[in-house]
Formats: sequence, structure tokens, C-alpha cells
Amino acid sequence: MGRAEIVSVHSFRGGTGKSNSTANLAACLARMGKRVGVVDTDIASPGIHVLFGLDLNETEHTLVDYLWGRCEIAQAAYEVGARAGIEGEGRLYLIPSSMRTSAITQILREGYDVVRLDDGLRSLMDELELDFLFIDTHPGVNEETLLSIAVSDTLLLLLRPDQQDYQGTGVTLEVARMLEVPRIWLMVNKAPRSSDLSALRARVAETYAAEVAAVLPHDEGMLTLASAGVFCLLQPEHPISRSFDEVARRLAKRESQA
Amino acid sequence: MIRSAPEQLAREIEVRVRALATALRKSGGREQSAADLAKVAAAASRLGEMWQARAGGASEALDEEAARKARHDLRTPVSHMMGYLELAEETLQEIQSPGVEVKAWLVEIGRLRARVDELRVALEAGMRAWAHERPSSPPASRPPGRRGRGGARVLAVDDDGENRNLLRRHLERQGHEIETAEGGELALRLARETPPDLVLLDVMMPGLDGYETLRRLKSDERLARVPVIMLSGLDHAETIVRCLEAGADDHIPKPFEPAILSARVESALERKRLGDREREHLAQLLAAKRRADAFIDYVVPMGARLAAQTDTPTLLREIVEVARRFTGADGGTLYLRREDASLQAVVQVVESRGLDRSSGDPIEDLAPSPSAQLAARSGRSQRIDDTGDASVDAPRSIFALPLRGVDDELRGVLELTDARAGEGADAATPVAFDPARETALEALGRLAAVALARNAHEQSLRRRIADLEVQIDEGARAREVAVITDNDYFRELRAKATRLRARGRSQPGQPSPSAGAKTKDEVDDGPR
Repeated sequence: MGRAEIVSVHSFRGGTGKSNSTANLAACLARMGKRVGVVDTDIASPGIHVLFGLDLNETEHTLVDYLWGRCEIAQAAYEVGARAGIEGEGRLYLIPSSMRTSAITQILREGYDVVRLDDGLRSLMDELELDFLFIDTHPGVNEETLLSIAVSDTLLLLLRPDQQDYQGTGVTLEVARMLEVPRIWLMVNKAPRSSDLSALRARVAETYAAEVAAVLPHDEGMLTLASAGVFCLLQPEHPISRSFDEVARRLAKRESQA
Repeated sequence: MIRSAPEQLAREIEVRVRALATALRKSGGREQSAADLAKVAAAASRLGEMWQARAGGASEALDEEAARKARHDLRTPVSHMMGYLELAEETLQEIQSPGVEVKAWLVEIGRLRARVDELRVALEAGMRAWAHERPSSPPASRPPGRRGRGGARVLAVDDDGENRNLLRRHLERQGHEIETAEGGELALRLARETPPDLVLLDVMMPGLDGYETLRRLKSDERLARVPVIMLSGLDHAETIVRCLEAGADDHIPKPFEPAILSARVESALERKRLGDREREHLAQLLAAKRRADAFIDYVVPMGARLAAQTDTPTLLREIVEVARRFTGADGGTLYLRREDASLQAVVQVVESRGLDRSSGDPIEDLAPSPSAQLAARSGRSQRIDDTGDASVDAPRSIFALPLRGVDDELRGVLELTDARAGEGADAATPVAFDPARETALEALGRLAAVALARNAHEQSLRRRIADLEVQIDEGARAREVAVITDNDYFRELRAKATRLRARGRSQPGQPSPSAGAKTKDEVDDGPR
């Protein structure tokens, strides 16, 4: 088995649906029989565990514990696929951040060793025999997100179709190119329903000279359901679910070629 | 031999009329009436003979021409009987303070007239049996009792007191209201005070003569259409011609025959009624033309103006203002239809209360009125002429107009309140909305709905274009990239990035860049 494909999911600003997209893509791949890990590095505002129905009060160890040297990284990994209804060979592991406010405050104040994060990611891939490792990053650019970007095989940049995101995405994209990330995909989320999605896709691809993996329309129904679970598992036939599926298939194809 | 009904009736009438004539002659001084009655009897006798002659050949079918002539021949004596009975009656009616005897004669004449009418009906029924008979023609004689429609105002002008009196009595018997004048000056004054329906005008009068009075009547705009009948002796032929040329409607020779007077008066009044009705129709046509003009002069240009308006708040406000101006409404509220089919107020203007909320933003505290909701549900205009609600802010009259475009889809409802007359001292008093403008208003509503639909479409296109517009400030991007990349950490990360990615495959545990580097999350959330 080859090395796992590292996929960082990043956005310049918060609120782009980053955690949601990460959870959905990871779930789609697990459903295809892949072994998938998801690391929540958004320590300041963790949230992805909610989508997988993981109650942090019941978890003994988290990513923060690992960063402080209190446990091994694998001890902070929880299999959440089975409870989400994923059957077969696929596995879905979540390495949650911490939900305890005191821990969050402390680690944000003192910082942490990004190298230890990097080491942790690698151990995780080996020990859990992962095909994919998703990194749900903190919005914006800091040393930890730069590291996530630097180690990624694929960087998925999420943006909404507005001027602020266009500008910020341009910055992140240039930085990622300097770091020679092999594959950089853009994903436009929350496009107004009135938009001509294919025209928007073409325009964004042209502006950034980058591949646009998907353009997802703004959907009230999805927003309501998405806060309660993984949308593409709840509504597999929904057009948005199909879009995630397609992106996941393309990721899987690349992984098998690698 | 059994006599048929018309023959029996004719015989009976003949006998009774002769008896009455005899009675009149005996009482003395009633020669004229007695002579008239003798003519009635003669006509009855003639009719009886004619009917008997016809009945003999009744089995033969007549051709159409022959039947027409036979009917005419039979009807003529009936007309004579009725006419002479009327004359006799009128003569007797003119008797001042009639005694019991005279009243008894009048009663008998009344009965005889009824019998003549029965005879006419029987005759028509008998004639219908003939070949080629057509539906019976209208009665050859006038029905008994007062003749004509009556109820007209007639001004009779004659310098002779006796003539004025006769005219008055005759016309009053016909049910008209009579005013008399002994000369042209007074006649003109009376006519100008209250325009009559008809003027009877003597030609020869001292002072202002008939011709001059006629000329002045016809040159007065208010009186020009009042018909005038000239009264004159037959030797005034030249004058009569002049009068007719000057606009007189008819002429009655003096001394006048009551029947001729009645006929000509009724005929002139009937012509006037027809003329009046024609003018009424003309007025209706003019009203229809005004409605058409409202379309051409107002609805069409305003519709075009709405169609050209691209700014949404301005469009919403203009829809209200255009309709308010058109109806003179004090208030106007525009509701737009939400996706869930409920109504959302977006503009409210009430001039008398100085209220003007027309930013185009939803007016959340304004719930749709019952009329507006009804208009939305039914898709039809709701007009309330008087709500009967006297409280201060409550409208008295309401017009709620559903705004539906060419696709009939409801876009919203425009509610107008308190139409005002817009003239004089009562300008501010609410009145009902003009029903004559309803069609034009509905057309305006349709154009407004089309403008709203077009505006919504345009806004959606604009949004799409804005979505597609990706603008990047290159200078700002370069500065931000520099902040991130122009430091040792990044340089080191960049140098080792490729190796870092490769390391995972073969050599876990190799040193990472900038070992021990700590990061704080303070700079890096990026612009929000």
C-alpha cells in the first residue's frame, strides 16, 4: 500500500462550508471503501465532530492532547464511519480538536510545535493504514495552515462567489503555488441560486488559471440538514451530494494513479 | 242567418249612436256633436255592409295585394268612427259646468269608444283568417282616455285671450303642463327662466311678432333645441314658409282642430324626445371616447414610463404614484407577493397624513388589508365605495387592484384609498372610485405587473453578472503574499516542502523545518 494522499481543505475566510465539505468528501470516499482520516486542526473553532455525531465529553484524547505530548496520535483517532452508516471496508477516523475552552485558550496562547503536528499526521497515516488524510484547517493563513498546505498532495481551496473571497483566494493560491503543491483545486460554495453555475465555473477557472472541482449552489435545505449530520449520507440523491461524490471519485482516481 | 261578431258590433254601435244623436238634438244647441255622431253611425253602417259583402266570399283566398286593400277599406270606417266620437266627446267636454245630462252623454260616448275598440279587435281577428294575413297592424285609432304621453311643459303664446284659454284646456287634457304668454317679450323671459319642452307660437302679434320671437328663441343656445310650432291663419303662407326656414318645427292653421293640435304637439314632443335620447347616446359615446383617451393619453405613456424604469425602489414608488394621480386617491399601498404567496407591503403613501414610506424596503409592521388579501386570492379588483368606517385613519373608499402580468401570475396588489373629487371646496372629501376608470386602472395594473416582472428579471440578470465578475486587486494581493512569504519560516518551509511531502512515504521521523517553531494564532485569520 502506498502513502496516503493528504488533502488539505482551506478557505481564506470562515463560513465557506469548509468543515461541511471536508466531512462530505471524507464520507463519500469511505463509502467507496477507502480508509479515510480527518484531522480537525481548526483549534480555535472546532466543529467537524458535531457532523459526525461525536460527543467530545466522551472522548479521552484529542489532537490538543497529542500536541501537548499527553498521548499518541492514534489514541485521539475515533472511528465514526460505522455510526454514520458506512458499511464494508471503508473506514472513517476523526481526530477531533478539543472542545474544552480552557485547553483551547491555553494552546492558542502558548502555541504548539507545528513539527509535532507534521509527525503526528505521518504516524496516523501509517498506523491507520490510511488511503486519505483530510486536514480541516483554520481559515486564513498562519504557520500551521502553511504547514498543512506544504505537506498536502491536494489542496482544496473553498470560496464563495464574492469579492472578498476572490481577493483572499488569490493570495492563498499564490502561496500554495510557491510551495509547489502538486494539485490545487478550487471549489465554489454557496453560489446564489440565480447564478449560471457553469458560467461561474468557467469564469473562476479562467481568473485563477486553476481547476474548479465543483460549484455548489446555496441551498437552505442543505444548511438545515448539514448542521445535523453528513448531508451526502442523509440525502445521497441530492444534486449537491452528487457533486461531492464526483469530486471524491476524482480524488480516488488520482490516488490510485499516484 | 247568424251574424258574425264585427257585424253585430257595428249594428249595435250604429243603433246606440243614433239614439245618442237624437237625444243631443232634442236637448238643443248640440248640433255640431249630433252631426259628428251621425257620421259615426254612417261609418258603422258602411262597415257592417262591407263586412257582410266580404263574408260572402270569405272562402276564396285573396292574393296579398287584394287582402291589403280589403283590410284598408275595412279599417277606414273604424278610424272615422273613433275620430268622430272623439270630436263629439271633446266638444261636450268643453261645456262649462256640465249638467247631469251632459255627464251621462259623456259616459255613453266612453262606452261607445270601448265598443268601437272591441269592434276593431274583432275585425282584426276576422281578417287574420284571410290568406296571406300578416301580424295585425297597430290600432288604427288611439286608445281611449288621455292621449299622448303627457307630462311635457308647453309654452303657448297668443295675443288672443280666448285662444290662450283653448290651447290651455286642450293641452291640459292631454296631460301637459301649460304656461301662457300674450306676447313675444314675456314668452322669451319665461322660456329663459325655465326652458319648456315645446312652444306654440302665434305668428301675428302686436309688439314682438311670432317670427321675431322664433328667431330669438333659435339664437339662444339654451333654447335653440326647443321645438316651436307656429299658429297662423292659412292666409299667412309666406310667413309660414319664412318661419319654417327660420327653424320652426311645424305649423298649425287657425282656427285649429283639436285632433290636429294634439297630433302635431305629440309628434313634435316625440321628435324632441328622440333628439334628447340621441344626445344622450352621444354623451355616452363621448364618455366612451374619454375612456379611450384616458388609455391613450395616460395609461399607455405611464405604462411605457414604468417599463423604462430600471431602479427598483423608484419603480415601486412610481407604480403607486401613477395610480394615485389617475384616480385622485389620497393613499396608496403596494404589496408584493412573497414566494409563499403572502403579501409584503413595500410602499405606503397617504398624502393627507403626510405618510411616505417608499424606500422599497419591506414595511414589516404593515399587515395586508382584507381588501388587498381578497384581491390577491380572487385575482379580481375589489371596489368599496363607502366603508362606513368613520374613525380617523380608516379609509372611506377603497380600490384594491391585483397586479397580474401577461402570464396572469400575481406579482402583487395595489391598494388605493379615498378617491377625491379634486375640485372646488370639497376637494379633500373622499368619494367613491370612478367605475368608468376601472378598466383603464386594471390595464395600468397589468402594465405595472409587467414592469415588476421585467424589473425582477433584470435584477436577477444583474446579480448573475455580478457573481461572474471576479476582480482581483493585484497590488493588494502582492502585498499580502509578501507578508506571508517574506520570512525565514516560509523560506525554510518552501525549501523543504517537496522533501516533506516525499518523506511520508519512506522516512518517517526525519526532522521538520524550523524545529521548535511556535505559532500563535494572532495574525492569521485573514480579512473577514
